[in-house]
Amino acid sequence: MVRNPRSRLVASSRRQTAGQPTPVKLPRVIDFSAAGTIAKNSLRISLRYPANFLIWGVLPLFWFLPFIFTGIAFTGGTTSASYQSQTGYANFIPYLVLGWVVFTYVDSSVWGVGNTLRWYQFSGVLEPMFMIPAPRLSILLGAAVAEMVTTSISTAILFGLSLVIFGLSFAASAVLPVLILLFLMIIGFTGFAFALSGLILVFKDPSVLTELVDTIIYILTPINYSINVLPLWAQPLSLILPSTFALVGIREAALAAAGLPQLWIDIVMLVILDVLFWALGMLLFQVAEHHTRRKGTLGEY
Amino acid sequence: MPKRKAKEGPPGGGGLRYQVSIAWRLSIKQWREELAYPLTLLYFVVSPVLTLLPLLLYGYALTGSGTSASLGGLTYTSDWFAYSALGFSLASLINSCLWGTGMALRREQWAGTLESLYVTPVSRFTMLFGSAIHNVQHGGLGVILQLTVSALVFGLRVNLAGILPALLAVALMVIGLQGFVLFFAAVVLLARRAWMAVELLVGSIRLLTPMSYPIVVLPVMLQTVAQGVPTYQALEAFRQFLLLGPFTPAAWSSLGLLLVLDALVVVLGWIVFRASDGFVRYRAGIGKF
Amino acid sequence: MSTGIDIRKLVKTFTSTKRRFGIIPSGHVETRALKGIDFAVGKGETVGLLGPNGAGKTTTIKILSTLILPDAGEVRVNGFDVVRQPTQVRASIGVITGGERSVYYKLSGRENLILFGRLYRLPRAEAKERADELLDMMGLSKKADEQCEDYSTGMRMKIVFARSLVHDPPTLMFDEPTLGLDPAFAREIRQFIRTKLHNKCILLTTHYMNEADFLCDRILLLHEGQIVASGTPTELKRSIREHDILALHIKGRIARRPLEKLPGVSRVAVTPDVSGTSTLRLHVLDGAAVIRQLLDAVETQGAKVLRFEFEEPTLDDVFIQKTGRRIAEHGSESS
Repeated sequence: MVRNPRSRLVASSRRQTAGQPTPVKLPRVIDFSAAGTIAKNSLRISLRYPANFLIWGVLPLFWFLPFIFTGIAFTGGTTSASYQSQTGYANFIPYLVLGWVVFTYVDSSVWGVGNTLRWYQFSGVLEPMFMIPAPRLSILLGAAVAEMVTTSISTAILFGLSLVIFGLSFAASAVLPVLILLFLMIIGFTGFAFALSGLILVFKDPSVLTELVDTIIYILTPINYSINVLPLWAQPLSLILPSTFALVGIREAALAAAGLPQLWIDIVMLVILDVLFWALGMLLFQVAEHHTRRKGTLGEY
Repeated sequence: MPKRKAKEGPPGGGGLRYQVSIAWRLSIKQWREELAYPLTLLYFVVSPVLTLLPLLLYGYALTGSGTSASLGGLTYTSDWFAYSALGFSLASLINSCLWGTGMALRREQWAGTLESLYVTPVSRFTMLFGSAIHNVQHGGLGVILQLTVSALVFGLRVNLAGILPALLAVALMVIGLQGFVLFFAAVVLLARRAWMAVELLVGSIRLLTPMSYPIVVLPVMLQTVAQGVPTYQALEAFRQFLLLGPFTPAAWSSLGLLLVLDALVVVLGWIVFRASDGFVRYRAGIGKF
Repeated sequence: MSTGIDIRKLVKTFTSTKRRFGIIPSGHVETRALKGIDFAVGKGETVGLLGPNGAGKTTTIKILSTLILPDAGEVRVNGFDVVRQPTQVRASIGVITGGERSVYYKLSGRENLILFGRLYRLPRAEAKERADELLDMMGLSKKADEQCEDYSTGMRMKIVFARSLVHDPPTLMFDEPTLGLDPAFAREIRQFIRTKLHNKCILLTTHYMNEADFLCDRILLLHEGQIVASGTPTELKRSIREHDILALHIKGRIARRPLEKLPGVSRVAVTPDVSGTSTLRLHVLDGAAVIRQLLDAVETQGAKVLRFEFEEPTLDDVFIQKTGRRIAEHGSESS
């Protein structure tokens, strides 16, 4: 008697004569089992480069230290009345640290997950992966899970270094709300990465398109400044990004000791955006995949 | 390692003229590859604005106006936008040279063409020089575009008499950057995950080439190190010439120091690159990545 | 015999963009890769798709493996429609395409096989067992736990083969499985296909005639998107048996047309060699009657005949008879 329902597929294919359809129903949209296998595989490979975690923990420092030094040069210290009136926080250093810690997740969604298929093609394993009996979104979901884990390790290093270098401290009560907001943001950007992958499949231009998208998100997200500093026409665009609501909530939790009840607006908006981004992302990816299969350029860049 | 000098150039001659013409063709090849993606042009046109915007918004959030008394006390101007915009205008050139040329050999490795190039009579330096021509053109266009956007869209004003010496500073900076490029190319040949090493090195150079802040805000040790980075000296000269005019002694001192640093960096980079190139060929590592 | 692959009136056209100066789009070019082909492959049958580069072989394999959508026609694999049931199709096939580069370099051979076993929905224990079985079959047990980047090309290719078999699919598709491999290893692969996989439904593409001869129960000759001949290797060669096959090795270059005009000559294929010599392959109705005129015609064009011989017809000759050109104009064949 076969216990594992999946092994019915195996049992039937082993004794199968060609032409007899396989009895097991296969997922049509996402195969979570395949996604899990892909995530574990990606993590296994990542763990073979332990130095990467350290480097990715240190590298973002080089990206945001210039902003801190600029702030010191422009204000003569670490606080500014103007910054307080714009953002609600006088000290720009913790504001920036939290902004950049969140941005590392955004960056990894865009560059890591969004370019997954490109990395596979680079490594030569794209066609074998495209031929597994799972919907191709499963590949991206697996990559997203692996990326979330590896980014979290690097970000923890970055956050720890920042606390030490800048002498910061945050309330322990902020941990749970921050993790919830981060998790919801990551889900939203995973849907976004589906859409970006689709665009890259069609336009075959991995780095420029990704750079463009990454830069626009970076400008619209309140990483270094609050959204009211943006031009009026740009502010609604900022409000459709999960990173905006995540950052606003995370700062309230970490810098203003807000609890989950006070963050309900941010949480609700994140859930709504997550659903929207996933729906649009999956649709766009499937349209793009169909288009490239029709053109015959699925595995080409 | 055996010490042999390979005879370079095609049979019957070629020499310098051959290498220069090959370098030019390699640069055109790189332009063709880049322009094969239409989005590249679009990004090139919009990137000056996209690069400046975060700075503009951040600076405004910090100061609430276009000036900073604190910056005025630390430097020769309180106009933070002019100070930073001039600094960022060189960013695309620096990035283009360091990333573009430093990773040229690794890109050929990824494409599987490095071994094919290495067995031609083209010298390694020519391969890098070809990439450098493209990247200097690319970065140079970026500088012009950035300054134009800063002037037309954001109202940047410069001292026109300072343009020529500013260009001299840029030219000398490009020479110094090639020294770094040779060093990066050496790292790329030796290290499997080279781009991370290059990313860290580029990040360090950018930190020590303060585009939007004076080096006095850096920790003392980093200030000392920054003085020895060619890009810092070039940027300071460039900025001072354009803000204060051509008769700025401090700017000319920076240029003098830049000349010395360029010579040192280029010679050191050349030595390191030749050694690593020989080492990699000795260890049969050209085709691996 | 039940059918593993069933193709009816398959059409595929590719559109590419013309560019001025290499960058400015200036129009479209349509290439009809497949012009309505029909064939079927049954269980236990090995069918070869033989043809030169650009004939449509890889396009056919990619449509069957769901990487490309057809423009028209009906394509079924193991009873599943490739357009409407692509996941089921992929679950029931094993495909080799992409060569030895298509393995995870940073994983061991065992890890590669277990990964794909799991992705093909094998339970963990079964995937491990199957990986061990295949590694043993391929003679890689001792190296199973080393990373693939330390394997030789041949060893990586064995992993690629093993991967296509990990879920024991009833239908296999091999796209140029021995391309670029050394002759000894290519022989090993062919022997493996013939002895271990004879109960599968196999479609393989190749432009090596002796490979097709050795492995295939049936051969389809593909030229410019159309099947120009099909049959067993023996049937195909017999179909041109009324012709003598004459091979001339000459020094110099000559044009084909004057030779084609000679009485009794039906086809001429000229293949220049790199050393300034050429090989002519002629299909003639009565070789003995026309040989003197042929030698004179060659020498009239300023070339010198080094040697000539009558040969047994090959699949290449069948191809020449049908299309006027050789399958592998410039390629080398493995023995």
